[in-house]
Amino acid sequence: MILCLVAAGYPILWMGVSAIRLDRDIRSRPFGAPVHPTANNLRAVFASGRFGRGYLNSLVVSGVSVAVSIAAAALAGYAFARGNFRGKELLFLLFLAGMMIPVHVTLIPLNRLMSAGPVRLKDTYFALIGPYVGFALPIGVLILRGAFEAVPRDLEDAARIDGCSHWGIFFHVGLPLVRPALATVIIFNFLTMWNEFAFALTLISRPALRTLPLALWQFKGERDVNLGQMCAALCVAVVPALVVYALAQRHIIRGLTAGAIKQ
Amino acid sequence: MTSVSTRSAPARFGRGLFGFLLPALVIYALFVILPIGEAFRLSLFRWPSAVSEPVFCGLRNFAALMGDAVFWSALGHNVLLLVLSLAVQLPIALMLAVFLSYPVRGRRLFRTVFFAPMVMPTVAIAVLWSYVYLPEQGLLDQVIRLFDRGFSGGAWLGGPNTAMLCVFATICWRYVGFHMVLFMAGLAGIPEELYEAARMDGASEWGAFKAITLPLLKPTIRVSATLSIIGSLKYFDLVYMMAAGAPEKSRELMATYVYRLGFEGGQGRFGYGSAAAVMLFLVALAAGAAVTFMGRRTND
Amino acid sequence: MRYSPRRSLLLSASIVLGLALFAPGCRRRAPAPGSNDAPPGEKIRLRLWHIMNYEGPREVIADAVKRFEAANPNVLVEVETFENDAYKQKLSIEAAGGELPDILFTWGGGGLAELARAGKVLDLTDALAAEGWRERFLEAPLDFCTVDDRVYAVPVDLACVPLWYNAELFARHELAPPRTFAELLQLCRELRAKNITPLALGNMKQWPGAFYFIYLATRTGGSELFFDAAARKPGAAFNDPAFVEAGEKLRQLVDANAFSTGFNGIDVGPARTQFLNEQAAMYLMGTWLVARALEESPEFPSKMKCIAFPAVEPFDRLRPGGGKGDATTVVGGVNCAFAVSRSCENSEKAAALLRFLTDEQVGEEWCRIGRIPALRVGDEALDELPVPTRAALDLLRAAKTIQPYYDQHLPPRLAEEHKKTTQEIFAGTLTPAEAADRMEKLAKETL
Repeated sequence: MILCLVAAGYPILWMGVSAIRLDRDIRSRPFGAPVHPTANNLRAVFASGRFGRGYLNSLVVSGVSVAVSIAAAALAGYAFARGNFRGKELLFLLFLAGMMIPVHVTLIPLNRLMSAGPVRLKDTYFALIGPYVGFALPIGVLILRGAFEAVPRDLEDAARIDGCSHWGIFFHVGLPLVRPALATVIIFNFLTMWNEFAFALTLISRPALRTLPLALWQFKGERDVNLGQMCAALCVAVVPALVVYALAQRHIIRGLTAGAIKQ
Repeated sequence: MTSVSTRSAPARFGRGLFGFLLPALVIYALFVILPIGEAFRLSLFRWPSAVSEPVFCGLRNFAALMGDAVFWSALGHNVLLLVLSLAVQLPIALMLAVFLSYPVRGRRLFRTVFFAPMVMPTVAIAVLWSYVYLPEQGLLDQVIRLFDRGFSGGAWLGGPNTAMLCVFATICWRYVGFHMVLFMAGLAGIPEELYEAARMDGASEWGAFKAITLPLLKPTIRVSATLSIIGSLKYFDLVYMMAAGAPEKSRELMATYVYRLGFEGGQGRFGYGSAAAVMLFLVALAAGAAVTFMGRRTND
Repeated sequence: MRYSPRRSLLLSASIVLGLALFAPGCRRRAPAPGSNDAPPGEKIRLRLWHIMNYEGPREVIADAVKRFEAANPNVLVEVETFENDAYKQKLSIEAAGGELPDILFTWGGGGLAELARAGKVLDLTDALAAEGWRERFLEAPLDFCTVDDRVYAVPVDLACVPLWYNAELFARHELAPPRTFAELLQLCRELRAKNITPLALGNMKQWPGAFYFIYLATRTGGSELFFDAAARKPGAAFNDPAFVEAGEKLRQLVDANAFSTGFNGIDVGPARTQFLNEQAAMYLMGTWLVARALEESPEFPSKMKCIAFPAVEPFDRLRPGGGKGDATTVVGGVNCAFAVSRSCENSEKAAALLRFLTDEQVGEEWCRIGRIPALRVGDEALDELPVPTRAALDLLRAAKTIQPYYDQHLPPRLAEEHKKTTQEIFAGTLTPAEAADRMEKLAKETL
């Protein structure tokens, strides 16, 4: 058990320690403790100036994508749960199929579609937000439909009798009651989008728009010889997320599982 | 939003909700359905070079794909990933979850450490583990050297037989925490009284596990398994980043092959790549259908 | 969801703090030429993409851009740098359907030919004729940028691939640099016995290993064989016995454990480090190595010496016209050239920028950072070359032929096949004969 802990945790620890060691030291004694701790690596990472941008871009893209996808998925989930229109099940199956679709099937077409003619989305935030939302919808719709279906009908009937419109029922009755599921979807989607690499690699060229994974990839391409600097860069890319995770751990994990298990 | 007369019967009431569906549908159609359709269309063309105009060639791309050893090896790797995820990742996660369900000191620490890899960007993981697998100087070789002084260093990520397995190990490292947490939540839902009753009846730990835990955990296991299966067919990130040095037949998943056909080194084989993408889509769809179907059957 | 105000406060505080830490990082970015936040307006914008993203060449290019902007105040140049492979991908994507940058980096050869024949880059032949611009270049690099007798790019850099060795290490162990292939094999065995890696190699990207194959092929069968095979002349094919023999010799090296352990999984950077850290005795790499070495291990270049790749006993074939590999042939190419895309709206200004990128000052500074310029420069400038580069330049001048890198001369698809099959020869998953046959098969289909 302890072995597992060590195996799981050690790489991260090593990364952190290596970040403050000189490259030469790391090569000769990989496991050793930092004898001459240096801040130079971190300085080099910050000076490259692209991680700040990377964080910003990732935050913007992930944030907006999550917001849009949760809104659309909630609306759609409610529609599937309570709606009664033609082709409802067929459309639902369509969304479900989306969960199976590997995103990379669309890499080539999206790339060409976005470069062509009047729709010049490439190299904008929307180039990423669109696909991210699109692919996040299926799982959101699935989970939220289940959640809405579990809402007791009497509450809704009561609201309707009181004169609420669709929107009113949805917003004032339905939404608050599916909060755990919302949390699940938001966290799951955010994690996925934050780490997303393939689309960003293909659809973004401008350095100013690079998300965090791309920024890290670019840094690696330039400096991967210097282990110290690379580890420092890795730390910069990873530590803030780890800190947020450590603080909010309980919430994150509970949110993640609450909605998922109710299936 | 559409407003409906408050005195409508439930049936007519439901009809107005179609409007709610629109935003999701539009985005989905635009960014998912449309590109997939385009992928199908592109797969019927051939690109002599990246910069030339496409030439219609019907189903020739698919015929070529059938004979493409690299494609089949990629498919094989996807299957391997699927099997390993189910056979290795899930049991480990289950074991850890069970272990952590007992009041153990430092439980919180364990959970934190095991789940942490999920929060790290895959690029960071790829780079970090590339150093672990670095021949001679990497952590892995150094650890092996502690036990076997004369070890000359292994070609982990470059070797034709070891590349995929090494990447799978890293994939396990990343996702075990996720499944563990799912199982922990599932375990928490099993009432304590059942265990007490079993203990009073004289059941062993293992017996209790088999009779109580496993059956009641089935829904959770199913969720985990489904996510694993779907995930392993779609996988791209770590394999693309880490196994690039291995020979062609040893380093591809279907998704990475699609990417490489289209984009690597300026090849621009968009038509052939789209055909591979279509195949990937069909395989994933088939697997998804199978999973859903089996799920439905065991449910009744 | 339990709502705990204190927790949320802590969370938001840490997020804000984290972002605050990065804000200075954003502003403290190294001054980039042609900054991106000039107000839009009458300024003409030119986009320049290149891959020289490390110290040395990056600054020289940036400097040239600055001088251009000073002379043309109404033009703004947006420079973007990429990593090598990412650039190749980007370029093919943009060329296929997107928007090429106004000025793009190119290696000449087959890649440029493909762009030129598809009409994606401008013909610069006439522009070159003006004001003696053309005379500023050396002939050989200009040839690399010529397609069907028209010039489509201007070269800045000239590089060759000698066999570098650590002279001090050799002296310490009383070894002599190898002159023939047999000597090389023997030397590798001796070095291995002393626990030194004979030849540093990081073949993850596949082109470093290809150097060995190319040299062995050209020593065995001569350069014309390659050119003829690429041009599909009758009698010349990629599965000519000379190519197979080259592969066999490569296998001999691999079997003698001559290369870094696990070489196929190591990238160029770590391999270079092995050489610079004296863990490896020799390194077959291009002259751009010197600039990198100066940056990463400034004391090391003084120990670097280079020789031409060992001669190979001529391969006996009954091929009319002979073509036994000449031992002075050096693998080389243009490692930095610039072309103008057809979609550029201000080709005059673009051409002017190219002139600045290839002017005298660039030539001199290129020498100073340790790279060989494709421009004619005076002897004083050449004296600025670091000693190792000077030695490589002498080799280059003594060469009767310059053999271009296969993956630059061939069109991209065949180039990929070449790299893949060569890597598989290294890995042992393809025999040299099989690899050669695959090359020939694809060549027949695509050329």
